[in-house]
Amino acid sequence: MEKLAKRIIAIVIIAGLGVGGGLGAWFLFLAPGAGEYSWSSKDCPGAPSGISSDQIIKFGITGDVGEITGDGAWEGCYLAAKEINEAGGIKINDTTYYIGVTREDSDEANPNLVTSRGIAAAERLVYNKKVQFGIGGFRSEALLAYQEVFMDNEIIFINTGAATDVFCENVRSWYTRYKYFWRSMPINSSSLGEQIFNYLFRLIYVLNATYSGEIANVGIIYEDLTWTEDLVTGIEYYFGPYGPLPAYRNMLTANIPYDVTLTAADMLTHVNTLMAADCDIVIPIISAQGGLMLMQHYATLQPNFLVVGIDVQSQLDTFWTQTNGDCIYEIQMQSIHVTNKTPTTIPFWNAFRAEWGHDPLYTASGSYDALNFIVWAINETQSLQAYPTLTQKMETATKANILANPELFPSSVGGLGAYWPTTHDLVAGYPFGFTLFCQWQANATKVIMPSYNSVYIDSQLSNIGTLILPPWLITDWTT
Amino acid sequence: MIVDIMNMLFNGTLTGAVYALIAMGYSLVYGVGGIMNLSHGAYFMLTGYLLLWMLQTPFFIGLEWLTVVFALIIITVIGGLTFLLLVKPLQDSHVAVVIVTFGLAFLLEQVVLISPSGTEVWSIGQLRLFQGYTMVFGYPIVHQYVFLIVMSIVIVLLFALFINKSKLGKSIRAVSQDREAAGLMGINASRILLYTVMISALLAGLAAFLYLPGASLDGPSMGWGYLLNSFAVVILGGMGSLIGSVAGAFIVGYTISFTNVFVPYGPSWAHLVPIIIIIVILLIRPQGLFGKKELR
Repeated sequence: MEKLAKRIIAIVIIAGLGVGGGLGAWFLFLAPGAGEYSWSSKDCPGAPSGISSDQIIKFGITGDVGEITGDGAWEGCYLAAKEINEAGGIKINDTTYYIGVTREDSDEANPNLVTSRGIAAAERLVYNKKVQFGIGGFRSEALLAYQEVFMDNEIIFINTGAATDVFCENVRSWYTRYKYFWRSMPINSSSLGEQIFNYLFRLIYVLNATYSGEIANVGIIYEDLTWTEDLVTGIEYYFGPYGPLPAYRNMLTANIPYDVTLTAADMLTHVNTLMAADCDIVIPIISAQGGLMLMQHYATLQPNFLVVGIDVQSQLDTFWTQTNGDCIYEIQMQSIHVTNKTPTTIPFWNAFRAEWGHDPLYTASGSYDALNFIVWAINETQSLQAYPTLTQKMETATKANILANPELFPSSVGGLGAYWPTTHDLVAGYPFGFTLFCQWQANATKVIMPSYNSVYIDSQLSNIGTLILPPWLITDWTT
Repeated sequence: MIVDIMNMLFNGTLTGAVYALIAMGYSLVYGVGGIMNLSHGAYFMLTGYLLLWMLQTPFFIGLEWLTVVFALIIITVIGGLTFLLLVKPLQDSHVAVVIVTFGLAFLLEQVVLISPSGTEVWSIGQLRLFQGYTMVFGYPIVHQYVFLIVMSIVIVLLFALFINKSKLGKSIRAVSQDREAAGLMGINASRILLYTVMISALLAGLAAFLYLPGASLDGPSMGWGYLLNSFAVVILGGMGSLIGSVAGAFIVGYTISFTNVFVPYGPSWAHLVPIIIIIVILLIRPQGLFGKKELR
């Protein structure tokens, strides 16, 4: 009996401690408004010390801490904030404000995605840190869930990493709720697919003219994730039986979606499938480790195809070292490189490298543009009101207005930053949102390829190089 | 068609050879001590990163093969420490062992994550012993992977010899059959368990050394995938059965490979196959293909 009583008391104590601890933690960290974050000059790079929370315009960045995409978003915002603060901050009605940046880990690059982590990150930014603006996002599945936190709280959020079309379609279809959502990077999946096709159309034309019509088959290999869906649909259409150009119909001979947790042995299987399908060009649509595996097997097997597509990891300069140079000859899309897309592109590139010691990823340039875009609207309107003041001002950054009066709008680094007023999506197409095709060449150099004026006007950009084909491919195509 | 069949067979063998090495150690520890070591996948991952970190160290330039020796020693020692510090004090409770090794796996993952190389994918191709490939029936057989498959078979055979013929191997078998009786015969069961965990860590390390130079380091979480598949392998083959682990590894390998090559859109869900295997086997034959029915 005594034993039973002790056991009951022990259970009650443990339960009490558990419930008490849980409630305490909830009140301290999770409850709306609980454990409020204290903003200070440490959150404002480049700002003078001693500034108060009231003098800070608060930006929250969502992304995967420790992963290149999330770190890129943070690094881009940090640099933009630092430049603005070092220049004296911004004045609203004669009061000086500084830009504060903070980040929360959404864990969205995790192959085993848990969307609640993204939601929790957004909630920490909104409820505990009281951010006034949100920037970030990478994995569509995660962003679809946590964007709602920003929309619920009527906070402007600029997506700088997820390409899926649906985000901005939401703005059009349910403007009253999603009007706070914008996308500054990348161009949407359909447009990415269109730009790949436009480039390949010219590339295949040029190669066929040089190598007597050797390019007959195209294959795609892609992560089976939301962000690739629209892109793949586009490519399937362009190279499928009902494609717009008869010469390019029925070229798609291999179509490989794969689970992102694949192993190198799986990738070897897929590369062999692409070889068996007699592909001449393979389009990867990859954001994670599959790109490295693909290029490793490519270097070993030397298959008779050229790799041209999206390989996010390959955008970084460290990819050469990471692959031990196996990425040579890969042509991949990236938002910026050392070229004059706009007057601010190269200065940004240099400043970014000086600050962080590596090349900027697309999420970095997108976030840099996003923060500057919002600050521009604040400056112009002298207001922090998300709607209607700031939203309506931002909606004036249309294609027509920017072409007519470029000096009235902020200079973006990824292209002329125009947005569709009804969807808040980045306008795609030269000279607005367009991608650069870059090839890894010998000695770890990355060279911007001529697009043969298909995606960008080659003569208008500096540092355009020359395509170099793998020697085994030249042998195959000439014999 | 012949190329597709070759593709399926070669990659199935390759996958099976890797899982055989990993699962054999996993199964051994369970068979001998009833220990379900969930940090086994982390040993595989950590060996890869140990190799990478040493390769990035100027001291090892020109001494790349020394990195393999060091990495295998370190991972074996980590296996030993896992037993001494975490498993041994808790081994009377299976649940506690599962939880503590689960925690260790997370700890190792986070340690790698905060390292300078932890956030990117890496190749350790400098350790490839063989370059190039040979065409067989129109299919490129990669030399490095042939080396892996041959070495995997050799290690499995040597391991079987070791278990059956050596004094330590016989002690391991004795402890796995009846721990108390082995103790009465003068065998220090605790020490045997220590050696077993160290051997299993070494096998995971060997798998990493043989496979990863031809593959890649996919990030600190990569160990979980290998752990899950090893789990499927030992469930299929029978917990604690070494023959079962090897057979199970190749069955899982060929099934994944078949799904990748022949099933429409198979690559999207090929890695569901091991999970399906776990569920189906647990429902229809919980003891696995080669496992013994537990006496109650």
